[in-house]
Amino acid sequence: MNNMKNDFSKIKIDKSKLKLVSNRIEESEEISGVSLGYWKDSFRRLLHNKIATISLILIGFIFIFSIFITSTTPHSTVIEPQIKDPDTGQMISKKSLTSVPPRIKGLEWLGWFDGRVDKLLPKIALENEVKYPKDTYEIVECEEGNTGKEMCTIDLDVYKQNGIEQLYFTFGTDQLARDNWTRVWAGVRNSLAIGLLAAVFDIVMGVIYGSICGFYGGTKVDNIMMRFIEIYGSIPSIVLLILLLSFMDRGFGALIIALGLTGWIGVARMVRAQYLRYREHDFVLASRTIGASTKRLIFKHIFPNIIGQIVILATFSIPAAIFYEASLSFIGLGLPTDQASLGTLINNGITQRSVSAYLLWIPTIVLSIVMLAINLLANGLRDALDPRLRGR
Amino acid sequence: MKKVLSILFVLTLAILLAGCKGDKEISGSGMIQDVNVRRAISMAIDKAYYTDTILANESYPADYYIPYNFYGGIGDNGEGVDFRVRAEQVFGDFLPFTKYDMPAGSAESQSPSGYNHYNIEEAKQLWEDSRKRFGIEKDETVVFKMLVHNTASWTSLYDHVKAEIEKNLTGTKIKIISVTFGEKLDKAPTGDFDILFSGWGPDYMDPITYLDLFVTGNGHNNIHYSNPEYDYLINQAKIGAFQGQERLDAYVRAEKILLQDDVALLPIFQSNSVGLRRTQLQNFYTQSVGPDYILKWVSWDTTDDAWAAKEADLKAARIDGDETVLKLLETSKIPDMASFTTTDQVSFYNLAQINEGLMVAGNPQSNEQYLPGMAESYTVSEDGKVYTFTLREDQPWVKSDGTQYNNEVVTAEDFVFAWRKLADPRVASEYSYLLETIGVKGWEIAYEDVTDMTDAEIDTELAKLGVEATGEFELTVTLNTAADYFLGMMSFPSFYPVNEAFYTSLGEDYGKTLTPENLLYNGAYYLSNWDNNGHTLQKSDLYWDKDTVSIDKVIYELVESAEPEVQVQMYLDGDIDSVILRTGALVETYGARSDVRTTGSTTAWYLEFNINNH
Amino acid sequence: MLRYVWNRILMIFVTLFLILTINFLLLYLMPGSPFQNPRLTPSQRERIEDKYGLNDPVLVQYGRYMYKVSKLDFGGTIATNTYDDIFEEYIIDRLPLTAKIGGIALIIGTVIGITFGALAAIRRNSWLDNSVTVLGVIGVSIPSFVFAAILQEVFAINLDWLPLFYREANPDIGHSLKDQNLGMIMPIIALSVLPIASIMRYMRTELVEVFSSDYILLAQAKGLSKPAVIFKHAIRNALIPVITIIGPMAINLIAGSLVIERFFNIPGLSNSLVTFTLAKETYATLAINFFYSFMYVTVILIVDILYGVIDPRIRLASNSKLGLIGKLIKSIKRKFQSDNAGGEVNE
Repeated sequence: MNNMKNDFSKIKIDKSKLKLVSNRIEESEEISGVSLGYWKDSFRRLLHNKIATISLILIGFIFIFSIFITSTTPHSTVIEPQIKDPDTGQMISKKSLTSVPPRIKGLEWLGWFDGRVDKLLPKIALENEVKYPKDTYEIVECEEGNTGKEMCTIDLDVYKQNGIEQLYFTFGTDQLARDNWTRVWAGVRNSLAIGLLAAVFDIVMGVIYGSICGFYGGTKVDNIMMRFIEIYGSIPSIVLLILLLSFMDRGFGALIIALGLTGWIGVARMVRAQYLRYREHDFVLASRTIGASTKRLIFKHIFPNIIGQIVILATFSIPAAIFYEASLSFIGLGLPTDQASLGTLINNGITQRSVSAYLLWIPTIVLSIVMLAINLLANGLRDALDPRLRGR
Repeated sequence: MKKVLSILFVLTLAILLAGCKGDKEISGSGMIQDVNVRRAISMAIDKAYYTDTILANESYPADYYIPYNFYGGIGDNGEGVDFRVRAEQVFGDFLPFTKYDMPAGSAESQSPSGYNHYNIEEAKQLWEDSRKRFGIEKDETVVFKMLVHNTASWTSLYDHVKAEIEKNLTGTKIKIISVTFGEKLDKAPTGDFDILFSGWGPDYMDPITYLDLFVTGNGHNNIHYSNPEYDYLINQAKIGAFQGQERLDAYVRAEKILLQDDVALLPIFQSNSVGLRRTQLQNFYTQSVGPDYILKWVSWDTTDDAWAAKEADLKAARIDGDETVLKLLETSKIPDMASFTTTDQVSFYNLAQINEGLMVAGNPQSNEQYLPGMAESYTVSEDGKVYTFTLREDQPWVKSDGTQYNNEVVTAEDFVFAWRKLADPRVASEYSYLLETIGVKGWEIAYEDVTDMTDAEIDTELAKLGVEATGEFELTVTLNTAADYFLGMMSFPSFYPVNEAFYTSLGEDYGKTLTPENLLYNGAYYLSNWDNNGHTLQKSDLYWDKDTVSIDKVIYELVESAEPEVQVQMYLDGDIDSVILRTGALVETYGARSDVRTTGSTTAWYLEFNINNH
Repeated sequence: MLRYVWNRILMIFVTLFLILTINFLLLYLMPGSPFQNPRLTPSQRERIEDKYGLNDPVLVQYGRYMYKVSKLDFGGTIATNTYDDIFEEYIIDRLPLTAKIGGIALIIGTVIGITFGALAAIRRNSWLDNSVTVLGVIGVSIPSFVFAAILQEVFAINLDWLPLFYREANPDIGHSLKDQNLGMIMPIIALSVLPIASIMRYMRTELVEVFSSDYILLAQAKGLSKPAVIFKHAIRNALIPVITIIGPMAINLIAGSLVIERFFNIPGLSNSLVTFTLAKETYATLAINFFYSFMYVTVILIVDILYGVIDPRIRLASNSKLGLIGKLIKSIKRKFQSDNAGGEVNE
């Protein structure tokens, strides 16, 4: 835009190319373009933003996929897979399915999803062949360790070692033999649901509170309400979360309520500020003079103007809620571990990282992708919805 | 945009719907009253998977309550007998005991025996029968509430228990109620649970320390378990009605009632730990009761053969000329060093190094549990109720610079002062219950309501406590009942002496954090340095038994929030000399090294069934 | 004017009083007890709580506490005699270190953030701009505990370049001053990721907006050179709103981050705040909470007073007559009132 403006001076206009189309005033008032509503226009501009579109599709896909995966395999976030050995008809023991690294059929050549791990062991442990049969590993290198014993790095085929070569675990299994693939998707589902619902919760609360404040801006009501926000906001949110959670039965609902109750302040402040801004605008004043009711003023005139801001804020508060849930799992106050969330999975991964690094990296990468997508979508939405950025 | 919003809204609804199960859920708090339901649950859990695969630290999968390697009492031949060994002798004939195989390479090939061994078929049968008896429909799910505390290291256990029960007993659901430790203490007595996760370590060397918990009316009996026969056995044993093997057998019978007849508990495991420790460290063993280690007995192997070529730097750092140094990790601060008020393991542990009681824990290589410490000798009256200790006359009180305090030595009055502080209701020491445990005459004062009494009146009452200085170096203790664990308890920090004049000069500041000068020492070590980074124990040259003490300086580095992996890295970097491998993953990685050590413990971990549903 | 300031200071006392009251009530209602020794039976626990007056009626406890606070005694830890006066022995002791680490992280974040944000805006749609955008989003997308774990794994365990965590210099244990300084590097890096990312994004957006405004066009029209336009007009004006987000960020950074403290063994306030709260150490929690609130409210007050000083005139005067400081104050004020939108999480 600014480039175009700058270029005006260089344009030379040939008058002969111009002609008068019409001098009828009615015609010039007519709108020649297609009439677009605010939402339609915004959506059109959002779709013009390739990154935001891709992000939107990605989030939708991940969300639907996670619901699909978790609903087709019930209970599997808790119970290990029950698999029969096709040769013997016996159940495969839980032990053989424990901490199995990822393996994907046809992708073994990549080196990441081949079901093999590197391990550092003393040579004696290899020689007795109890735990590590000779054909399950290749020796990478051997050298003298610090305590004077010979230590060997081996490239171990865990599937062969456990005798489950016919199986493929896409994301591996964890220390309780639970399928990481299902758990990661359950984690995505739960984290996104927590994020979304907490965002809805704090938006609703924030909008109601902020609207009341904003509409009565400057009066005693507003003053008292803002003082309350100041007090409430000055309590560190982690303490507030701990306190709120201690009054409720831990779980999904409690987390959403607690996250919602700590997140609404920002929304309320923003909504109030927007109300104060629009209250003095001519169109509100005009309808007030005609005698519009308070209700009508709030909902018909002011609210539509700030809905764009609210949507943007909502999109930004989803990743915030997901982050907070992850932080809470870090101190043991997140979802119970039998209900996976990306936070609990990553925490478990941190404790297992020396043996099963994939338990840390896979949920981390998935979380980062989800956050990236939501943040990019939020950026796109801001560009599309913010009237100031229109046309740029 | 509206479309997107509505799609999101529909999806949100979809998740909520997906979260709701079609099955009808009913509470299991009625069913848990049934002994066969409890037995079914007990038999449905594969404990060996938890100990072998998740912990991987040679912990014993336990079908029993009183731990293995725990002194049970005196057998027929007049010698101490292991409780589990005796239990197997008594009931092994008519209860076919099944044992768990321990993983290859463990010290023992099989775990000790117990009751209600893992048996899926029988568990399923019992459960199906119970369902029929209670008239539970096919589509109904029975929900049991399991109350646990949210410490990260336990979550694997909770998930495992949940998964095993839900997998093996069809139509069950375990609802994990995860709260903070403090909240659990609050919630457990209210009885708002069906299953409760607990652990218990011994206070003293007698099975009573475990069995007393489930006597009717005991404050720790959260499940309100009550069985007249059980109460009879324990209460009679407590007042000394049974002696010798009879007493041991009474305990064995009581445990059987608790586990086999009533299935009040579901034992999970007896914890051991695997750690890395310098191979050159000698006599660094844990004790089953009391502080983990007694540094007095620990020494370095200084011979050249013991140290590998790559360890030359380390050796130079540890054995520096004549001074030997030991470096250890401390993961939590010492909160309080006043022996009569402190409550936590870190403080007790450190107090046991810097102060000494009447008795002292014995050298781990000998068979003696305890040796005379401040007491040079003692006599016991015939009924076992009056102990007279003759104290050493040459043990000075040492200041934090290693010199003697005011030319004072430890006297009988110092013990009397400390014990009265412990019993003083104005002090309200958390550990005053130990006075009741050993049964000192007049312990009731500790629990009395003294709001209406004057200080002088309280002091008169305290003077009636059964501890007396009958001479400058003679201490007489009078007990209500004879207890053979009394002497062992005398090595516990709560009973250590305190110098009255020194205490009075400081008041409440005595033993305060980070003030080594606010303490007096009479043990093998004294605190020469104590700050936010840790503390240093320096060998005391004025200690009566200083020739036994080998290590000159023990440096503790305080790293409060170190992850288990980081702790191991500190060991590998040579910052510390001993570390515990806290996760199965770490044992898997480092478990085959030559400096791995397994340490036993006598802490029992179990689930309690809420039998009397309040 | 003085009257206004006086009123505001009075108001702060009222606010702080209310904050203490609400916090006290919440902590009182929280289940649990500071005496968390599992060996104690409920009746023994109750007796000890009696001794400390924890079972008295809430009003009595509250009155006693407020009386102590009025003498500026915030109390200490209840269950242990670790701290007698939490404010004097704890906050004053610990604040300098977290303030130092947070301060350096903030400076790094600001310098790098502003530089790259500005470069990205100047060279819009170049590879630099794209990578700044991507890095910025990644920076706010990866949880800090993952970042801390990666740093520790790579630089301390695999490469062995930096110490595992922060250790105070202590010749007795064998840690030199060099170890201490090296130990601060990783926490500073981990802490500065969020400031870098958010300042970078903010700077870029603001500068782009400034570039499209009329006065830049005017400056160009006047024939000013490109660097002069950028440095004299654009960056100067874009900086004002950027500085406003640094204010709240600084409070967060000085207060410290729970995760970073846990990972790198930094004796800060956040970690203890969580520990104290979970242990129901009411007085210790209240003291740290009070300190946070005090910082927060004071910053708002300072902004408000400065704004109040200028207020009667700026309402009449047009924006252009304000000068840099006036604009700054105005935008800080706006920032505090309006969108704390992004609500950047620092946990």
